[in-house]
Amino acid sequence: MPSLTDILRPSDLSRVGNLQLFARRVVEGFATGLHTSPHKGFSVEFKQHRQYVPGDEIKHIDWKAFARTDRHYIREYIEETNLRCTILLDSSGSMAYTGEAGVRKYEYARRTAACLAYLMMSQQDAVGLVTFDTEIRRLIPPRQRVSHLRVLMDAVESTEVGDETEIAGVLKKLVPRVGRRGLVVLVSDCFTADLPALTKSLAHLRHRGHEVLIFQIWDRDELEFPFKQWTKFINLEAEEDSQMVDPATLRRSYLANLEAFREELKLGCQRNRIDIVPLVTDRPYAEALARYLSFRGSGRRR
Amino acid sequence: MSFLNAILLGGAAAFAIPLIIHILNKRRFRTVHWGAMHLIAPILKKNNQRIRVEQLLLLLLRIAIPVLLALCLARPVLTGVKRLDGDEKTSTVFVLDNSFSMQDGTAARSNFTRAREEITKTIGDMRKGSDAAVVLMGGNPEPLLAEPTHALEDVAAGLRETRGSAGPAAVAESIQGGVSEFDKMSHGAREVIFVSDFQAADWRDAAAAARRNAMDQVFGMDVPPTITLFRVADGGGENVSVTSVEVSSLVLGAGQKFSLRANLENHGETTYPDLMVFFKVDGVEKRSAQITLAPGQGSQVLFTHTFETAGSHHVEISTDADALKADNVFTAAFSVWDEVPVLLVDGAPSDEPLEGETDFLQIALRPFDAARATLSDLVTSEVVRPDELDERRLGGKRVVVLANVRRLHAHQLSQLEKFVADGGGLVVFPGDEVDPKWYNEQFFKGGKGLLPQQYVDLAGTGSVTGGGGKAKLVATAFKHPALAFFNDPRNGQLSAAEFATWFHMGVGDDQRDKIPASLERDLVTLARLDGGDPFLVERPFGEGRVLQAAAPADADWGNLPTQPVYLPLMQRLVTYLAASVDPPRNLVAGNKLVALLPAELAGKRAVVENPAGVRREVEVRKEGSRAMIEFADTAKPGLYTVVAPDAESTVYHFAVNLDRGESELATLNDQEVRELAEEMDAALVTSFEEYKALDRQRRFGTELWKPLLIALIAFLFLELLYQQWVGRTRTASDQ
Repeated sequence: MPSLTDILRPSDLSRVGNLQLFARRVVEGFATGLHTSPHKGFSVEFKQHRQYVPGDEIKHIDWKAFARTDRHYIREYIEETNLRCTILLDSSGSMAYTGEAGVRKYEYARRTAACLAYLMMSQQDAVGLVTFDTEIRRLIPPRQRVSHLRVLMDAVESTEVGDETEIAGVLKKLVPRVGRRGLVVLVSDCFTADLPALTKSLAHLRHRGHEVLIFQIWDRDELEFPFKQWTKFINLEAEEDSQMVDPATLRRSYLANLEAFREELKLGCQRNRIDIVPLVTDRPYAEALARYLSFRGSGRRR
Repeated sequence: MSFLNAILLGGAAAFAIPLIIHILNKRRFRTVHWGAMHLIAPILKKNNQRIRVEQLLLLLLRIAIPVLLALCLARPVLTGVKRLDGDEKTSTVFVLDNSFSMQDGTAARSNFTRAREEITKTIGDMRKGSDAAVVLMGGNPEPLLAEPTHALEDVAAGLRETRGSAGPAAVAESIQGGVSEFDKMSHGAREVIFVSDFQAADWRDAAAAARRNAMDQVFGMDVPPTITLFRVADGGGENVSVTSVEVSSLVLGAGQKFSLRANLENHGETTYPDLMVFFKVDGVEKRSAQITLAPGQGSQVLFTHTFETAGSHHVEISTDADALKADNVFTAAFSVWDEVPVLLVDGAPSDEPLEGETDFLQIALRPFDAARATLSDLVTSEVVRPDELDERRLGGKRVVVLANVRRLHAHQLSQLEKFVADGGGLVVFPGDEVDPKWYNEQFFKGGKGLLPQQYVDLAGTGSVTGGGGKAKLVATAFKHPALAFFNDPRNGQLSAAEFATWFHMGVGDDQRDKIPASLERDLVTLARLDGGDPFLVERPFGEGRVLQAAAPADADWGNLPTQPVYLPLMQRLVTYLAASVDPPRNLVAGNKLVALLPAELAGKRAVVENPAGVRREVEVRKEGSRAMIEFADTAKPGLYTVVAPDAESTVYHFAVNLDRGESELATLNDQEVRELAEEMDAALVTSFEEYKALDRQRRFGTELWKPLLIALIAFLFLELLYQQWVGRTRTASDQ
C-alpha cells in the first residue's frame, strides 16, 4: 500500500513546516504495516550526574544536588536501550546548496535527520544529535525518553548552515564524547578536499566500536552538472573564492572528478566496513528510512 | 587596394556579433553558490591558462568569419601602384595566326576555328567605342580589314569569312604590321593580342632574331601597347607530309627518262604501317607505292617517268595519311623541252680528235650521240668558229659557250649582249688564245659588260703532266643549284680535277674604283681552287646569266675534261643556264607567281586559274624585252594554270606548295611559351575566360574574392573542428 510520502515529492513535503509533524507523517507513512516494536525499555540504574545543558528535561534535574551545590545537575541512568544512536548533522556551507529541484541540501539533510530521529525514538532507541561545521556546534547526547524527541527536533530546526567543513577534525574530537559504543549516523555531503583524513577519522570511530552509517546528501546538479551558460561558481564555504567558467567545456572533466571522488570515498568506507548511502534531494525521504531499517535489520553488525 | 562593392565592406562590422555574443555570454552569466568546489578547482587550476588561450582563439576565429565574408562580398582588388585603365576604351590589334599548322586541332574544331571564336568573343566583350584591327600572320602578313574600325561587328564578320592561310606565320612582319595599325587607331590604351598555336617552327630559332628586332621597335614606341599571347594549341600534332620532291635533272626533255624522288616525313607519334603514296602526272595517276613510316622518321619514294611531249607538265605526289590534307600533297610543275640548243664557239679548232677546244665539251653535252647509243640527247650543239658567230647562229639557241676565243668583233659582242640580256646563257672558258686586254676592256667593260670578272693574270707554272704548282678544285658543300648535285659524292668528285695553269679572276687595280657597286653584289662564286682563287663565277646580265671559268674547257691546262665528273658538270652548267632563264615554276605558298610570256602579248589579258578552279584575268605587262604577268594570291597550295592570250592559248603550270616547315606541328612547350612571353613582356592566356580575368586585372587590378572565399570556408570548418577539438582535448587531458 503506497503511503503519502511515496507519492509526495520532497519539495511538496518541505512545505510542511513542523518538523515533528513532518517526521511523524513520514515515519508513520513509512511504518504503516510494520510490526510495532516489542521492546519497552526503561532505565533505573543510576549512573552519574552531569551538568545541565539546555534541552535537558527539567524533570531530570537533581534538585537535591542543586540544593547542595547551587548548580543544575542531571541524573543520568544506565539506559537499557537496544541502541545508542548519534546523528551527526553536517551544517557546513556546502550543505546550503539549493539545486534546480528547489530543495536545499541542508533542508533535506535536516529532515532526513528528523525522520531518522523520530523513527529511532519510536523504536525505543536512544537518539543523540551533533551538529557541526568546522567545530562541533551542538551536542545532544542520546536519550530514550519520548520527550527527548522534542529536544532533538528543536535542535535540528534551530541550527543553520555555517562555515567550512572540517569533517575529519570534528569526528576526531567527537570520538571521546560520543561515549558508549553505538550507532553513528553521519548526514553530510562529505565534501572535503582531504578525503584520506576523513577516512582515517571514520576508521577511528569504527575502532572505538561504533557502527557508522553515512547518508551522503547530493543535489542532482552536483551529480549531473547540467549548467550550460557562463556561470560564476561562488564557493559556499568561502565567498571570496569564485570561478567564472563556461560549464559546458568542463562538464566531462567535472564528472570524471566526481566519479573519482565517489569511488575513493566508497573504497575508504568499504575498508572500514562503513555503509555509505547516497541520497539525492529529489528522492523521497522514505528511502533513507528504508536503508536505515535494512541496516538495522542486517545481522551483520549485531 | 580598392573595393568594387565598397559599401558592403560595412558588413565587416558584423565582426562585432560574435564579440557581443561572447561578451553578453560572459556578462549574462548566472551565479551559482556551489558546494562541490573541490571538484571544479583542480580542472581550472590545471587548464586555466590554456582555456583562456583557446577561448581567445575561438573568439578570433568567430570574429574573422564575418569580416572575411564582408571582404569577400566587397570584392577587393589589388592594384599595386599602376594607373589602371578602368572602363577606358581601347585600341586592340589582334594578330591572328592563320598559318597551316593552325588547321590542327581537336576533332570538333581546328585551332584556327577556335582562334576565330575566341577573338570574336573578345571583341564582343570590348568596351563600346573601342576600335580593333586584325592582322593575319600567315604567308605575307596583311590586315583583315583595310582600316581599323570602331564597328566591331564588321571585324567579327570579317573573321567569319577569313580562311586559314597555307603559308608559315611570319612573326616579325606580323609584329610590325600589327603595331603599324596603331597609327590609324584612336585610343591611348593599346593592346596587341597574338592568337597563335606558337608552332615551334614559326617562333623558335631562325625567327627569333627577327622577332626580337621587331619587339625592340615595339618597346621603343611612345605609347607601347600591352601585349598578350593567346595560346590556342589543342591538336595532337599528328601529321605526315610530303616534304619535298627532287628531280634528277635540272631540265627535262621530251622523251628523256627522269627520276623523281619524293621525301615523306612522319612528324607525329603514330606508326603508319602501310602508307600509300600516289604519283600523278598531268592529273592522271601513273603509279603508287606502299611504305612504312615510323614516328619521327622520314622515307623516300622513287618514281620514274618520261614526258613524251614538250611543254608545261605537272606531277603530284600524294599520300592518304592524316586529317591535315594540305601537306599530304606535293605538286611540281616542269617545262619540258624538246631540246636545249647550244652554240659552241671554238677559238682553237683542230682536226685531230680531242685536240679542238670544244671536243671534250661536245662529248660531254651529247654523250649518247658520241656513243652511238639509241637514247637521245637533250642538248643539241652547233660548233662554229669565232668569226662565224652572228645573229643567225644565235637565233633559237639557249646557251652559247665561248671556248678559248681570242676576241669578238664589236657587232658580234653587241649581238651576244642582246642574246644574254633577253634571257640567254653564256659560258666563257679561257685558254692560251685569249686576248686578256680585249677581255678586260671590251668584254668586262668596267663591270658593265658581259664578263663577270677580269682575267687579271695567269697563275700556276707547272705543266699538266709535270709536278708542282698544281691547284685542285675544292669540294665543299655547294649551295649553288648548278653544283648542289655534287654534294652527293655518288654524282662525281670535283676535287679530282687538277690545274697546272689558270687565270686569276678578279678586278685589276686600275679598274677597282670604277666598277659599279652592283657588280660585287651580283657576283656569285660557284667554286674555288684550293689556293682560294675563284674557279667558276656567275653574274646575271639582263634576263640572262653569264658563267666564267678560270681554266679552259679542254685538257691543255688541267685534267678536268678527263675526269668522270666533267660530263655531269658541263651538263649541269648548261642546263642550269638554260633553265634559269624562266622564273621559278615551283613556289612556296604566298609567294608571287611570275610568268614570262612572248613580248607581243603585252597589254592583253591572261587567265590564271587557281587550285579551286577560280579563274581570274591578269594583265600582261611589258617588262624589258619580254612580257610578263604577276599573280600574288597564291595562299592556296596546288596547281595554278596560266593561260596565255596567244593564238594557241599556251598553258603554263605553276605548282604552289606549303612551306614544309609548317608541317612539323610541334608547338613551343609550356616552358618555352612562358619564356617567350617574358621576352615579349607579354601576358599569357589560353582561353577567353582567362583573358577576361587578365583584362579585368589589368583594368581594375587583381580580384581577391576567390582566395577570401576559400579562406572563409576554411575558417568555418576550422571553427567547427577547433571547437570540437578544444572540447575533446580538454576532456582527454583532464582525465
